[in-house]
Amino acid sequence: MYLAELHGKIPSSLEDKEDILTSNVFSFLKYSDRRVYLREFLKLLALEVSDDDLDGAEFQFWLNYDDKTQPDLIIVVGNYYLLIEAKHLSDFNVGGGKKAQLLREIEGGMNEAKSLGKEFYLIAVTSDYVYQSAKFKDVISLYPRHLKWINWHSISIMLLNLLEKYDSSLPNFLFTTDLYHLLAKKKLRSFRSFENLLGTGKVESFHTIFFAVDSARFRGQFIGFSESLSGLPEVIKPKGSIFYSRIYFNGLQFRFDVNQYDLYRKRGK
Amino acid sequence: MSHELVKQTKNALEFVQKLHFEISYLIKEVEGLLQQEEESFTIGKPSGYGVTARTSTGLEPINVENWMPKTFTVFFVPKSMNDANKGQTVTPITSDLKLLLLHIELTGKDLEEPRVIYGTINNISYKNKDYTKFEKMMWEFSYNTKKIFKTIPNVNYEDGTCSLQGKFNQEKLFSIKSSDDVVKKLVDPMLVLFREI
Repeated sequence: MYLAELHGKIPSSLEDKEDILTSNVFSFLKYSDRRVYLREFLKLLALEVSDDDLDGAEFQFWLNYDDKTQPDLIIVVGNYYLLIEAKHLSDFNVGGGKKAQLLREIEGGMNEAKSLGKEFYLIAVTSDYVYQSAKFKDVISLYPRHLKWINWHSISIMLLNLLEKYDSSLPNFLFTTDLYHLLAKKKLRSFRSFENLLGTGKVESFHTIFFAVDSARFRGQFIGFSESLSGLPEVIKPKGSIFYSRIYFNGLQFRFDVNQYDLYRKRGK
Repeated sequence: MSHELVKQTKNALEFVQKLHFEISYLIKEVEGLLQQEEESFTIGKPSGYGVTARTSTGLEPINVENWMPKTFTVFFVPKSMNDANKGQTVTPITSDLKLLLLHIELTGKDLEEPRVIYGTINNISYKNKDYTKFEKMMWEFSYNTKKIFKTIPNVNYEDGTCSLQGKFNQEKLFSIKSSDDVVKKLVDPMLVLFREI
């Protein structure tokens, strides 16, 4: 499904369906290496579990409670009973005569969790860039300890961080790459601090990668990168500018006498 | 030496690419947040969904300097004030047109560190009668950056082709470190400036 979506091969009416998004993301957590991905996901929620707990985690998609309430997903992992309710372009159902969707789900979920002897949390996943307290006013007032919020963006950033950290040695690397690109395509990749640009440890730079102002002279001929760039300072972490400096070009002396040089290689030389 | 050069080339370009990606996500995040506001802002698309930047592929040194873009500008306007057609927007220049502008500057002669300039523009006029949409004016912010923004917070700019007024603030680009920062340091102040005109 990822590839069909990435290549625009499914109808646009389906692309924005939150059930498909939920399926894509949480199926990934179910089938990929749980010790990596499910663990990282739970860390986003400030939950820690053991390797055995991760391996034994149960995923129940669109389970029906007795009152016909249907949460998107239940994950039973370790000591936790996690009820996932995911939204993308719509809002949580506020009731319309009935009790609000989140309240019904919390009550149903708490009963289930209690019968299993687990700790209950409602995990609300939305497309908001930042936490919108108005959406959870009722839940917070009644069940403040049982609500955790994350956005889809934090999941895409989680994948990106793993991809950058482990590159192709990451388990399920290709699968992860596709999911990350899918989330980015759906505009569910948020801005991340620029500080991360320095965090990979891969980015190292000369002070300047261009001709040095002090020693450069206008030759008028390309002399090869190795020669022209030799003698530059040792590779260091980027501190200086990596962009062109106008100072360099202003400092050039355009006094090139054509007659002094053979511009073209002569046959036999 | 050759190995170092290969590594260096790769690292430098990779860094710039990552920087550009992060800037794109910053802009998209501002776009997404402004879209949710009551004005339902939409991003301007002068020639598609993109930024306006000054670039060149020329071989003269002054042009080579512009092979790599150093500024990126986008604007946002209430949905009711423009039309979209074939991936582009048309924002008619009318007397009541006001819009939001986001301008990112990575380097410049008098710039100590990258900055983002944001604010609102109004009282816009184009002296060439053939130009009736704001999209045509976007190049001004790439080519006349210094002149336009030299008097911020208040901008009162006029040249041979156009005139405009505006109120702007600026923020160090790298001081924006999270989605909360995007809201508090960019989007909220932008909306205050827009709504007080």
